[in-house]
Amino acid sequence: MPTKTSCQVCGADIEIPDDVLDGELVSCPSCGQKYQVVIQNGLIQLKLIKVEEEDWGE
Amino acid sequence: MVLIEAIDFIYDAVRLDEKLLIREFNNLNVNYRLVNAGELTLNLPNGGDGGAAFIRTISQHKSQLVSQLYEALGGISINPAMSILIGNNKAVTLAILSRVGVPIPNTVITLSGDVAVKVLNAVGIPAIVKPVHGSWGRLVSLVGGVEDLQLLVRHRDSMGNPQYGAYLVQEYVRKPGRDIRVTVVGDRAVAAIYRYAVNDDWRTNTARGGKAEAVRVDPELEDISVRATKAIGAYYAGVDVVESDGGYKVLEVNTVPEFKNVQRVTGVNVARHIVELVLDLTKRG
Repeated sequence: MPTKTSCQVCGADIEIPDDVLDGELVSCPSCGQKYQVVIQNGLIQLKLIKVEEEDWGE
Repeated sequence: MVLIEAIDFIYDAVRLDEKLLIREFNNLNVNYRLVNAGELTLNLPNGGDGGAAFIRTISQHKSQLVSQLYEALGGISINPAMSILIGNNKAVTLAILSRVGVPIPNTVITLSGDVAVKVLNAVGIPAIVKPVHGSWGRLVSLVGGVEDLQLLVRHRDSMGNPQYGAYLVQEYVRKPGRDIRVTVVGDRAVAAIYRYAVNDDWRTNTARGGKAEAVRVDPELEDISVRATKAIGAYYAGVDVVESDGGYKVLEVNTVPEFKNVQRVTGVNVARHIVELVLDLTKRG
């Protein structure tokens, strides 16, 4: 069963699939807010990501 | 020779690109382990032989540091640390491409905003102004005149980050609303796509939502892309190329490249090519 959680920005449901990986990026289907999945001791949490503040790239 | 027992797949944020790579590591029964860069610890002295790091971190700082640490400990990094350092620096990349004769747009590199303003007319208007570091089209500006650039310099100064004090002032290549992303693996351009700008945005990065279409890679495109990759010492790369009146010109060489759009649009299993290369390199040691 996919896990459901609420978007911290708009409150819409975000579905987390069963095969999600630690570190995976997911977006809110409603407002587009990006999150990073953090899995610790089997517990799935979403960390809010502000892409423009990161040194991300290729 | 380094004896490789397992390949450390170094990640931080997992994109679709990493998921495609993990799938191929599994399909090919590769002995690997997923290592979250944020949880990596290296205890020194360790007297070890190092290991093999397959660098897929999205943070450029982490990519550089982890690749250097594996090499410093006697291991190997894919891509090599030096190629990642060069690829993350647009100025050094262009300098190397210039040295080996890979065609690039006319570019002036300066460490001063005032000098950037002074050279603008010589480069031509409009011009593209970029920071030395950065990705996904961030802080890349199309400058229509001296006043635009003066304003841009003031904004950059107010950001208080010394790395934004360096400027690339580059001729604006009148590309046909698109550029090309070539994925090079080893000695081959395995696949390429056109990336189209969205609406009237002059940037074509698919990270900015641009559309894509498959490219039939001609020998000239393959030649300059492979030469650009080898020039900076990378084993595989995503090479950004524009079409100008004077032929192809290379803009950037990405050393932790995203390829999901290339794979989706062309149907080429780019991830498989990359993982086979990783296997080949680690067997060679």
